[in-house]
Amino acid sequence: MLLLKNEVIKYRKSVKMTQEDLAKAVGVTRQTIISIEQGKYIASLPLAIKIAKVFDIPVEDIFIIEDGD
Amino acid sequence: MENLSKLRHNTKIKMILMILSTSLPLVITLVMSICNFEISDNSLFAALPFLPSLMCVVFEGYIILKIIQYIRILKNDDYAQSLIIRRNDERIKYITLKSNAFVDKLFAFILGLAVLFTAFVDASVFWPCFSIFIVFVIIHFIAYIYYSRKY
Repeated sequence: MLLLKNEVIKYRKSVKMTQEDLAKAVGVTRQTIISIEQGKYIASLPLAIKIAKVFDIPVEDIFIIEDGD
Repeated sequence: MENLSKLRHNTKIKMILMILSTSLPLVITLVMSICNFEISDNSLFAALPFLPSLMCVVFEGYIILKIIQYIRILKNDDYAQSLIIRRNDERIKYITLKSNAFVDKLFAFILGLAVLFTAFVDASVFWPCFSIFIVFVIIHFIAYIYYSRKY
C-alpha cells in the first residue's frame, strides 16, 4: 500500500511563513493547510503544485509517496 | 474560480431578489384571499394556527440576514475575499461531497425501511413512501448516468 506524506510544515517554517500566509498565497483556508500538514487531507494536484511554487521547490520534494507495510 | 467583480455582480442581483422576496408572504396571502383558498380542517395549519405566522417570521428573518451579508460583501473587500476562498476551498468541497453522499445513502436506507414497514401496517402511507422511494432511485440513476458521461 502506498502512503503519501508531505514536508509542507518543514518548508513553511524554513521560510518563516505562517499557516495563514501560506493559505492566502495558495487560495485556501488556514484549516486546509492545517489538515494537509497533519496528513488528514491529501491536497489535489493543482493545490500541490501551487504550494510547491510558493516555496519554489519541485512538487515531488514536498509530497512524497512511500511504500507502506 | 469566482473573482471579486463576479461575486459583487452576483451579490447585487441576489440582493435585489431578496428585497423583492420580502413581499412574498404578503403576495401569497393576497392570492389566497382573491382565490378564496380555505385551509382544510385536516391540515397542519388548522391544528397549529400559529404556524403560518411563525413561518413568515423565520422567512423574513432569513432574508434580513442574507441582505446584511450581501451589504457586507459589497462594502468589505476583505470579507468578500475570505468568502471567495471559503467557497472555492477544495477541502470544504470534499467534506460537503462526502457528507452529502453519506446522507444520501442513509436516507435511501431509512426510506427503504419505511416502505417495508408501511407495507405491513398501512397501505395509505405505503404508497406515498413507495412513490418517493421510486422517484429517489430514478433521480439517482439519471444523475449517475449524467456524471458518468461528463467525467
